[in-house]
Amino acid sequence: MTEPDLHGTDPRLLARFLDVDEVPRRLWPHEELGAILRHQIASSVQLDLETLGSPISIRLHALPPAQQPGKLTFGELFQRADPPLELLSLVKQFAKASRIRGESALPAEIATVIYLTSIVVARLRCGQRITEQSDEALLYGIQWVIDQPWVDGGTRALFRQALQLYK
Amino acid sequence: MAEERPDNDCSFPSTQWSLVDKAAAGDSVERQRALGDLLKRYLPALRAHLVVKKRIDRERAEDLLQGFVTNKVLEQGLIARADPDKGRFRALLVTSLNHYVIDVFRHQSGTPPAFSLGDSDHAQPTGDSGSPSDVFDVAWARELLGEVLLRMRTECEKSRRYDIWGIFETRILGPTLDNAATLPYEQLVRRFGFRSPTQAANALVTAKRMFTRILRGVVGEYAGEAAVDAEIRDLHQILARSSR
Repeated sequence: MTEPDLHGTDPRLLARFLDVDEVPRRLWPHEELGAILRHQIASSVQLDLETLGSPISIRLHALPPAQQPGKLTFGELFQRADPPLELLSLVKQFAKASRIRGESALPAEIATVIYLTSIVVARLRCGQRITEQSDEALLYGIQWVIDQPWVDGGTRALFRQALQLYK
Repeated sequence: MAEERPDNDCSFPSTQWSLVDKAAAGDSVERQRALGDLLKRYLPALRAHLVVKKRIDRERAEDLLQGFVTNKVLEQGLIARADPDKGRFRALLVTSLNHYVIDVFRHQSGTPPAFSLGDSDHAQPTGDSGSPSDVFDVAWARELLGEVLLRMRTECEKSRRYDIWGIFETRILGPTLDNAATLPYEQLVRRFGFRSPTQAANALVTAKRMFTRILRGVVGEYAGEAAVDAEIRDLHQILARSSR
C-alpha cells in the first residue's frame, strides 16, 4: 500500500475528492466489458444470488437439493443440457435486480447479457418461457447481444442458436 | 484475501469526538495529545500562509510559527476560544497568526510587516486562479485530504480489507490525481481476489462510503459536526477555483 503525495497535485483535482460520489466511475470502462463478462460467467451462481439479499436468497435456499447451484458457475449453468428452470428464473431476477441496483451492481450491459442468457437457455434447453417479454423484444435483445464485440464466442453462438428460434 | 465481505460494509467505527474540543478541554494529557495532533496536521498550512502569501522567508516563518504556538496556542489558550458560532476554526487560526506576526514585527522593529492586519484578505479571497489569498486554505485542504487518505489506508490495513483500499487506489485515487492508468479489470480481480464483478462493485461502493465517513470525521474534529457540510463545501469551492 503506497501513500499518495498530494503536495504537487492540482487543487482542482483535489476538489473532486471532497465530493467523491461525483468522481467519474472507473470500475466499469466500456473496454473492459469483455473481461467483466468472462469473470461473471466464471463466478459462482450461489455467491452472487446470495449477494442480492432476501427475496432471491430465500427462493434460492427453498430450491430442492437437486436444483441447488452448489459450486456451479453461471457458465456451467448455461451450458447444462438440463438446467433447473427455477434456478434460471432466479438468475434472470438477479440480473434484473442488478440493473436497477445502481453502482453497487453489475454494469448494465453485463446484467443484460446474463438476463437474456437465462431466458434463451430456458427456451432452448427446457422449452419454457420465463419472461413476459414479446418475441419481438427478445429478438431485438438477442441481436443486440450478438452485435456486441466484447461478447465471447460461446455466448454469441448460443444467441445465434436462439435467433433461429425467434425468427 | 478472498475473505467474507459483507455487502456495502458500513461497520467501520466512526469518529465522533472533536479534536478541537479535546484540545480545548479534556484532561491535560488528552488535551496535549489532541493539540499536538491538530498542530502537526495543520502547521504546514500556516507555514505556507507565511511563506507564500506573506512572503516571509522560511527560517523566519519557522521562528514565527514556534512563537505563535508557544504564546498564542499554548499560553493564551487559543484553541479554547474556538467557537463554531463565531466563525471557522481555519479563519480563527490564520487571523490569530496574522495578528501575532504583526505584533512581533512591531515589537522588534517598530514597524509592521508589509501586509494588512484585516481579516478580509482571508475571508474574501479574490478568486483569482492561484490567488495567494487561497494559499492557506489550499494547503489546509491538502493536509486534510492527506490525513483522510492516511486514516482510510490504516483502517483498511487494520481490518485486512486490502481490497477496499486497493480498488479505491487503483480505480479512483490514482486515475484522478495522477492521471494514472486504471489497473486492468483482470489484474484487479487477481490482485484482490474478487470472486465476482458484483463483489468488486460492492468493494468500490464500500470504499467511497468509507472515504466520505472519514472525511466527515476529520473535518468534524475541527469544524464541529454541525458545520461539516458547510466546511466541505467551502473547501471544495476554494480548491475548485485554485490552480497549482
